[in-house]
Amino acid sequence: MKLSMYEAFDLVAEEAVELLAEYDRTAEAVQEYSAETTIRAVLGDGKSFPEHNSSISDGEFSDLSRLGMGKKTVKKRSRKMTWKVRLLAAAIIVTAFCSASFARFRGNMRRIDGAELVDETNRDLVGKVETGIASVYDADGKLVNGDELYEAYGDPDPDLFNWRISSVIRQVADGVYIPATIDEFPVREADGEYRTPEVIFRNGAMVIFTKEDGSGWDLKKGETLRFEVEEYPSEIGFGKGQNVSFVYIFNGLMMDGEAYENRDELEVSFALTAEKAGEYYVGVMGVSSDPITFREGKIVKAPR
Amino acid sequence: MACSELVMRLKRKDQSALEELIRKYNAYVAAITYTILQGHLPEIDIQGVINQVFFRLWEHAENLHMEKDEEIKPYIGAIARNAALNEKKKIISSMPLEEEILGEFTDSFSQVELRKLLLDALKELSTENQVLLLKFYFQGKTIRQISEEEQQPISTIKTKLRRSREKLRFILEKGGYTYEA
Repeated sequence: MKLSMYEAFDLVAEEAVELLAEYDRTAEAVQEYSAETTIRAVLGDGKSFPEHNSSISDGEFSDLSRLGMGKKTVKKRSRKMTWKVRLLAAAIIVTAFCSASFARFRGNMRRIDGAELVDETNRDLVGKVETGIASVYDADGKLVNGDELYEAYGDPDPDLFNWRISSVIRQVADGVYIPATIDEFPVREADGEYRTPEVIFRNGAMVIFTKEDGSGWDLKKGETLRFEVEEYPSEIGFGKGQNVSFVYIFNGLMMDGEAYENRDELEVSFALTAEKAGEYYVGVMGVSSDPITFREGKIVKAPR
Repeated sequence: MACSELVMRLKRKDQSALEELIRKYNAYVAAITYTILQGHLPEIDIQGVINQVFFRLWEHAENLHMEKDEEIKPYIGAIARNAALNEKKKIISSMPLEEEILGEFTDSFSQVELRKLLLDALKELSTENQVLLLKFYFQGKTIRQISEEEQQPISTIKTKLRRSREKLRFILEKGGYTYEA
């Protein structure tokens, strides 16, 4: 019987709750759940006992809507974190640029760190094949050519849970390839369209577009979100598009979208139609051997 | 067995008894459900689970046999825990990654034995690392959230989580309780 970490901790839930009560700051948060709210929801206004709805999978009791507790209130709170997330992302990008410059100085090469916005620091890499100087070690482990791997590529992160750092993805559906890195980039809204920025991303890196406040697109069932973009021509593509794979994220769950391989055109588009109402994001992953650069593109939400 | 007056009123479907119990134990139920679900569900849905706990108490009132009012607290706590865990299971429906497998146990272990094994193994970790593992796996918080709460760099949290995971696996393997990591 295989036991996952999640199942293991659920087994000791009683002790877990006790331990966390001591160390976690739940007391303040719990105050938000007043007895009056529960009484109104469970007993109604004291006039009649409401019909019991045993399914709460959609998280909504009819009585709760009467209390004016809407999902917008909840989202508002999560958006308060956006500025922190942005600051952190900015810090990561700055750090990445600094370490990358160091690598170029040391190794006469520059690698895209996952995915980056295109700017003056990396524009020279647009459309280029990724090359480098081979690091060669002799049988005794002594470096005889090129740079130490550590210096050229930075300290590799052995942790396999990088995707969990994403503020957008909470789970990955079965069978979906887990990218090496995930970077989120906000779009700019103009005239009812959402303009996506120029981004460069390497093999295994995933780019997720978010609205300016970090949220996704709320779609009703049957509505479509369409992403259209053109790729910069590349040395390796000979005028053709490189391989990309689209994913979409539905209420935090990352799912396979569509893979585009051996494309003849530089233009590429991906449309997702909501099977269920919820919050959706569009993501794209580089599955080509070399970096891919997208020009500015657009995301359009279309009604049913 | 004689039941307490409050339980008797609840059995008779006296709504004022339920209201009294909600006033007394709402914070207790909220603490349990919030602790288990805060990283998995939005606040409004956690309120839904709290409501469900008291609905269930009302529905199953006929089966209560408590002599003292205080004896109902652990019963309500168990309902709250089970309701929250059931709700969490609905959310975490996809298969865990291989890295998230703690180990393979023989089927001969009962739930009680398994619980004891896990608790003993956990106690060998520092309290700080126990809390980190619980926040990540039990509460479903992201590494970024934990990093902000603990005011430690993301890389530090990741390293501590990885080492704690490995240590937990090692303890269970060394004890001969798991035969495959």
